[in-house]
Amino acid sequence: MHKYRFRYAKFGPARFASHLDLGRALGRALRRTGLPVAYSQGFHPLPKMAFGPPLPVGVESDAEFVDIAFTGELAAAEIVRRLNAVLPAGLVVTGVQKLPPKTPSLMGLVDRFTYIFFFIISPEDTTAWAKEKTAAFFAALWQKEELPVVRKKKGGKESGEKRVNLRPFWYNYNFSFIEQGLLQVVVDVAYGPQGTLRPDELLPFFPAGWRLQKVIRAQAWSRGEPVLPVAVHRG
Amino acid sequence: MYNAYEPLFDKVRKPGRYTGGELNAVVKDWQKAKIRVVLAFPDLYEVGLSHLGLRLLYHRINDEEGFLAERVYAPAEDMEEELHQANLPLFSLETRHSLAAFDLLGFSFQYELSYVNILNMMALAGIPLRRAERDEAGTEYPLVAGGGPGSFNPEPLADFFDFFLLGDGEDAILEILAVMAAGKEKGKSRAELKKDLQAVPGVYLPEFYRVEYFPSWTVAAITPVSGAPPVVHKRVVSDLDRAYLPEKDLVPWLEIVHDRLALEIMRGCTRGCRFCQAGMIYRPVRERTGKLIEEHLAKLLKNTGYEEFSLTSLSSADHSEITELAGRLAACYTPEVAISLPSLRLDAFSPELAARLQGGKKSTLTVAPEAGTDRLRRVINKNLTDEEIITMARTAFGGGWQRLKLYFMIGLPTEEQEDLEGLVSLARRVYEIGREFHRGRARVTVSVANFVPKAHTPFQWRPQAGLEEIREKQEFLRRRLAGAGRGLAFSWHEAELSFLEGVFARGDRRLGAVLAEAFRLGCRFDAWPDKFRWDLWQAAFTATGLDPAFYTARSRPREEILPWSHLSAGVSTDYLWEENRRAEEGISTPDCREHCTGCGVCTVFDLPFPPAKGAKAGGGQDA
Repeated sequence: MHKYRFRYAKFGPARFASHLDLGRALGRALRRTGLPVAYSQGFHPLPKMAFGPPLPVGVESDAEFVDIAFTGELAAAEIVRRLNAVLPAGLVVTGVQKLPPKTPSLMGLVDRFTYIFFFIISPEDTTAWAKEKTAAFFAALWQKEELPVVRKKKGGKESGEKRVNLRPFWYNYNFSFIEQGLLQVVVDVAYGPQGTLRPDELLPFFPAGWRLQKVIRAQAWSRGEPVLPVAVHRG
Repeated sequence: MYNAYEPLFDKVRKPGRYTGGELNAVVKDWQKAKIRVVLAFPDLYEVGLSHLGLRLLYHRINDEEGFLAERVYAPAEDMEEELHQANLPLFSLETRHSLAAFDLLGFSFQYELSYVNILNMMALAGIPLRRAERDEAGTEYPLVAGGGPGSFNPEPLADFFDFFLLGDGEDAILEILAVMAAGKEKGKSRAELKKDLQAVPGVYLPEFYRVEYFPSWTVAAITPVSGAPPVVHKRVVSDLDRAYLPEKDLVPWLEIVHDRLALEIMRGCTRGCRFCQAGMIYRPVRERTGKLIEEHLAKLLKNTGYEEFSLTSLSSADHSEITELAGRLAACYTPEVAISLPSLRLDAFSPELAARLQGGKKSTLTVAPEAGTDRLRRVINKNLTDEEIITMARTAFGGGWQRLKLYFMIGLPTEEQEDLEGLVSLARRVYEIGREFHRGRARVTVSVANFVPKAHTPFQWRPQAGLEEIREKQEFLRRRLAGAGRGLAFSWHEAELSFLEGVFARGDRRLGAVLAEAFRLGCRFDAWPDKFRWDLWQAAFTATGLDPAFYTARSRPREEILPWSHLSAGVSTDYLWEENRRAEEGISTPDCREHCTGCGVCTVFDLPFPPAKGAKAGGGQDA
């Protein structure tokens, strides 16, 4: 068994694919490549794949990861080439590395994500004065000790609501006006057993006049370093 | 592709229903296309994309230079609401054009209870519902057309549609589009275009038929006008081996109802069940040869990567090569790729073959007795006996299966209390056999549908059981099956849904008013029991002054002009009437692979008679 870790981007028509949808799509893409993928045992064998943390539906990403096992050793670049030739629009493999035996799983590895929000704002709000206003807004938000949200509990026996303070999971921020009327906000958030926040949970705390264009998960981190492999291939 | 619809996708459930971008979806250059078609399915994406015929037409059209086909499915309530809020028209998945921007809007008619969704989809795109209103508007709006089983009696929709296609569409669609392209180039009017379309065989233009009624409400005459033929014959693709078959297929992001590759191995059915409309209108049987199926399947699997495929037809077990074919495919693909058949019916399949197809996993098997006694089964020409069914159950449970599904219908012609008691005792006996082998783990599901007489079948003259009768029969079955044990489950269909289905299945043009009123009152997704609003439908009938029971409760005499008398599936009316008579007398008719039953379809279309049964699977009724 030979395991490889792939980095891929998810965007456009693929951004609404759920975690389950993605598993099916990647399984089918692997069958199309004809590569010697390792399958599980049983009546309905599945390709041996292990995904990193799920991406919220609707969010695009440059930093998704999946480990896939093959029955033979293959040239990593060749796998990427063949996968990219058959992936549906909106999925592109951008990096690959062969995994040594006993490499820890992706789920335990990631402890932080970087998200980028793109907001459409009125053009006059991009003036120097507006920049000061935006800076003041973020400074005030950063000072808050409580950023409360109500989460719905899904599944299980007890369904209901739970109050969560997002503030401990928000690590930092940065913003810039990348063009007339377009504001880019970069935040880092926690991920792991201690808790996390979904990018859409931050939106209610931002000014109502900012119209969200899209959100991108730009990077995944582990102990202060970007999760490997980094992006080298382009689809 | 950022546009005005993008913000809506974040607000609705399952946005993947509307965003397109599936593998093998075709996005053509809008400007370069001479004729633009939008193929519409009047139900949710997950249901509509599962439909093989529409996918076939999609690739058929897009494979032609100059023609473009896109898709649209019925929007769910939340998307309908968002479209209203944003004041945006219903749009195609591929390029997000309004349905009104296309030259042809083609609907698939699979079931009568989707008709209101058709009106809703037109309205959501700002297309006037009535044909006459569109005609007045010049060439502004698309031609609205329909195809599929519903076009064999599309009369309730006659006021809304420009034309219908009867029968197989894969060749006819290109002829239709060629006529439209030529007409568009010459700047022809809608009226001229429709005149031209009349020359395409299989195309039915309701405006060219004048329907008159007797004061007693039945049809007095159907008169062709403007030189239309007295009878429109369906289209038949004579050789499936040479028929169009795409080498790729759509692979959706979302999980759809039939989430697998489907390959049609046969069209038509030879069994001659008298209740079955598909068995009559898709005649004659045409098979794809095993070799072609294998070769084509390999290409499709390579181009889609599906982990499961289905060999589809009305009765796949009757394909003359099925046993060898299924065996070879199982050896080649399982277990990494699973094989399925539309339903693993034990009356057609041996348990050995079933086991092989299920990759050794023994999930559920089904038997379709359809009726509770041998007598009633002879009436409907479902030629199974109680003893054969018991033997099948014994073989299945004895072979290791723990779950068995039994399909029945109630409200069948000549049905008596005795037949219902037969149903109960048969179900209980089957369950007892299950308990013998598996004790508490045995599961038997008794699924009971309500019989709806359909056009172009031997029972087209028969009355449909009324609401009260169906409810009483269901109540009887519920009571008598309830005590049988925890492993015996009973499921039934809502009586009102079947009743309404029956109204439209044999309805005439006057029902268009009811559809329009039901749509106005807010009916949507009537085939979904949780969305069905019987109160609104009753209000629609009252408001329009139409009596639904006129269409369901009457026994129709042989000489009555049926609303679909001018539409032909190639099966002679004399044959249907003779089958109806034999039903009355409880005489069965053999499978026409064994003995030609004289329905006339092979002669009408000058086609070879169906191949005799080959080395079919052992077991079942043919053992």
